[in-house]
Order: sequence, then C-alpha cells, then structure tokens
Amino acid sequence: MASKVTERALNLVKSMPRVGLGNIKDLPTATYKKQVNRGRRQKKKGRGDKGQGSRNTWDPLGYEGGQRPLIDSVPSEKYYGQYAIRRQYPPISLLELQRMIDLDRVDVTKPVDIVSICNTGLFKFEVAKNHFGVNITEEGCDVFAAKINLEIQWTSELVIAAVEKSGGTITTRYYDPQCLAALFNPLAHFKKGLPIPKCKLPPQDALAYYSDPEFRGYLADPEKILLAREKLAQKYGYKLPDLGADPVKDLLLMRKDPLQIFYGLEPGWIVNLKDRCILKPKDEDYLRYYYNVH
Amino acid sequence: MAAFVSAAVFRACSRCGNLATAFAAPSVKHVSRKVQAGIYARLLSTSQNPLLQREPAGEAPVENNAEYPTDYEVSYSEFKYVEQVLPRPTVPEVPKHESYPTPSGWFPPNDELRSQKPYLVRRTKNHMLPVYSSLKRFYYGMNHLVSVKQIEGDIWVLESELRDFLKKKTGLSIRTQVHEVYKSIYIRGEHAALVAEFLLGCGM
Repeated sequence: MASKVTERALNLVKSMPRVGLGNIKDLPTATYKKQVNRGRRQKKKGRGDKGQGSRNTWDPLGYEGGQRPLIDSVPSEKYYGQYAIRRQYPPISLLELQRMIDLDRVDVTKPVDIVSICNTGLFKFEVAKNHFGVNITEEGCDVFAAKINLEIQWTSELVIAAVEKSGGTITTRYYDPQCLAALFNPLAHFKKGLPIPKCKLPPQDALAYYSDPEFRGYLADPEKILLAREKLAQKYGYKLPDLGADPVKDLLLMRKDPLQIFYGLEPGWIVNLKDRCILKPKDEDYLRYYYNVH
Repeated sequence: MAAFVSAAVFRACSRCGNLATAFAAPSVKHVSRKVQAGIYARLLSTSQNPLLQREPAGEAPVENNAEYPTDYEVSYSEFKYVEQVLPRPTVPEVPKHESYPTPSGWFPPNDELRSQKPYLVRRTKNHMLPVYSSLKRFYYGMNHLVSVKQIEGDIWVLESELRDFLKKKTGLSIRTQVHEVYKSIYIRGEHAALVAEFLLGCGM
C-alpha cells in the first residue's frame, strides 16, 4: 500500500489538467543560459577593447614572440620532400609472382614483363599516381623456382640472384608514363586507334640505374652483364646454369629494343582490332620520328 | 508568325467596323506601315540573309586530302604478337602439378577430407581461400578483423570448431561473430594465418 504522501500526490495529479505543450513549464531549479545582447547598443560584441583580439591579428602559429621558434631550431627530415614529382614503383613480391606462375596467371613460355603482370588483374597500378612500373621485392626469394625471362622496373640484388639461380634472366627497364599507360591496358590503347608509342630514354637521375650492369639495366653493356652474373653467383654461392646450352635459350635472351614497348610490335604501328591486322605507315617523316630517339 | 499577323489585322478591322475584310484573308494593304516594316525585317533576317543561307542537303563538302600521306602496309601475320599482349577474358583453370604444395605453397582442396564436415568453405574464383583480414575501428580503438566468407552448411559448427582451434593455438579468448544470412564469420584479432591453417587442415 502506498504511503499517504504518494496517495495525496496521485489524487492531486488526477484533479489537475493534462500535461501538454500549452501548460508545460521548466522546473524552478533549471538554469538558463545568459543570452547575448545582440542589440544596437552593444559596441564591442564581446571582443574587449582594442588589440589583437578585437582586430583578429593573432600571431602566426609557432611564433614565440620573436625568439627562434621550435620548428626552426629543430632539424626536420623531409620524408615527403618532392613527393609529387618522385617516381613510385608499387611492389610485388617474388612469392606473389611465383603464385601467379603456379596458378597459370602468368605464362612462363613467353617473356614476362609489366604487361603480363598487369593483365592478371591482381596488381594495382596507376599511371596518374606517378607509378613508373613494378618493383619486385625479396619476400619468397628462397622458394622462387621458375625459369623465366623477367623484365621489371626496379629491384634489389637478392631478387636478381634468386631469378638467376633458378636459371632465368632479368632486366630492369625504364618506361615513360605515356608508354606505361599503353602497357597497363593494351586493349584500351588499341581501341583508341592510336599508334604504338615509342619509349623515351630514362631521365637524368635514373640513367645511372638503368645503365648499371649490376642491376641488369637495359642500357648496360651485355658483356659486362655476363661478368656481373658470374660475380653475383660467386657472392651468393650458387652455380650459374649455362645459358649457351639451354634448350630455351632464345626465350631467355629475348630483349626489346630501347624504343620498343611490346614484343614483336614496333613503335608507330597501328593495330586494327576489328580486321585483326596491323597497319604500318610508310611516310618518311613519320618513320623518322618513331625510329629515332629524338 | 502568320497567325500573329492575321490576329492583328482581325483586331484592327473589327475595331473600324469592316467585318468583311476582317474575315477575309489578310493582305499587305490592311496592315499598317509600321507592322509591314517589322514583317519584312523578320523575313529578311531568316530567308534572304546571305549569312544564314545553307547549302542544299545531300551534297557533303569534299575535303582535299591529297597533301596528307595515306600510304601504309597491312600485315595479318604479325597480329599474333597483339594477341599475346591482350588480357585473358576469364581466370584460367589451375594446371596439374607433379606434387603439392607448389613452390609458392598452394594446394588444391581435398574433397575426401572436406566431405566429412557438416560445413563447406568454397575457394574464390582466384582459387584462394575466402579469408580476408582488415583493420577496423571499434569503440575502443583499431583492431584487426578476420572475415571468413562463402560458408555453406552448418555455420555454427564451423564457428565453435574454429574458436576452439584458435583458443588452443593462441591461449587467448577469441571473440567471434556469425552472420548467418551473409554466410560469414568475423573474428577479432590478427588470426588470418591460423584461420587459413585450420581451413586447409579441414581440406577446404
């Protein structure tokens, strides 16, 4: 049984009118926010008298009243320096490449290059993000067992050793962005009806890498590359397979011309996908442009 | 425009009381000089303006292309190099290897083993396990989340067996979530490799 107080309160509530929007009211203990007077009389609008606060002339961020500030006195490492113009090489590991070969996503009976890696659809690559090709990383270098002719854009010494130990050959090759757009999606390029572009030479800062026999650069002297192969085999302690007696010697020694971007197709040719043929223009000026470096 | 002119003529004639001319066909005689000038100006602007006159249809302008070289050679035999470069329309079947696992550690699903279980986890179109690990933001911060998808059969048996396996391996309390409709299980923590190990052990 409810107490007397509760009973009386209930009876009181019963006799009172219903609670509605018309008669509802705040509790007497409720606090109110002081309203800002926005009338015409207010002169300073809550900003005080004169000075930086009322004129919005604060010191810049990091300013320490004239003494040398912290951001100037502490040396900075420019990790993202010149980020927008740096060449990027998105990575793919040797293990992933081996998995692609195991599952027949990459055909080993033909030379493997960036086209065959992009055509798997398992490699993310965007020319608009300054991506300049594929970088093969070292993960899975112990299990790599494919005998391939590999052409990539950036790699390390260990990867070169792993590929050459299993009997293959490797080349580092530079492509300019216009060629990379065609290499990334050849079908889209052919559908546009554009001629196959000629590849430009690497820029000044990349020239040393792509003409270095130790990185198997495509502009390096082939005889020096043969020497570098033997040197690397001695360093890592494996026996270099004889290339001359190899049954697939022609495949392993297949190389592109520095101006060429597709095997078997020359720059300046136009592909007709509908009639399944290739058109080769004969104009002299046209050929002079496509068959010369400059 | 003719309707506009006739309406103006009708109004002018009816005002002056000459109804016969109002119903007759409008003629230049009945139109005031100001209106006449306007009509002729419009007519001139459309039909007699030499700038707006077009050539008769059917005769396309012939361009002289003689100065552009159009000589080229056609080769059908070299199209095989184009075919090498084009992508395959579908994911190919896995070739038969001499021994498993392959150098990269892949092996095919074992039908004998997996037929003994009341559940089934199919391979994806890329012949891999549908186990995905991701980083997700929870109310307490970031955490790894492993999701197992494409589960058929009794999902609750798989969940309990998987939880027991992970508990035994890691010694941690495993938090899982089962989505029956979406046929998937979510596991908190960085256990993708262990989940794959369990599923491969079941022959999936």
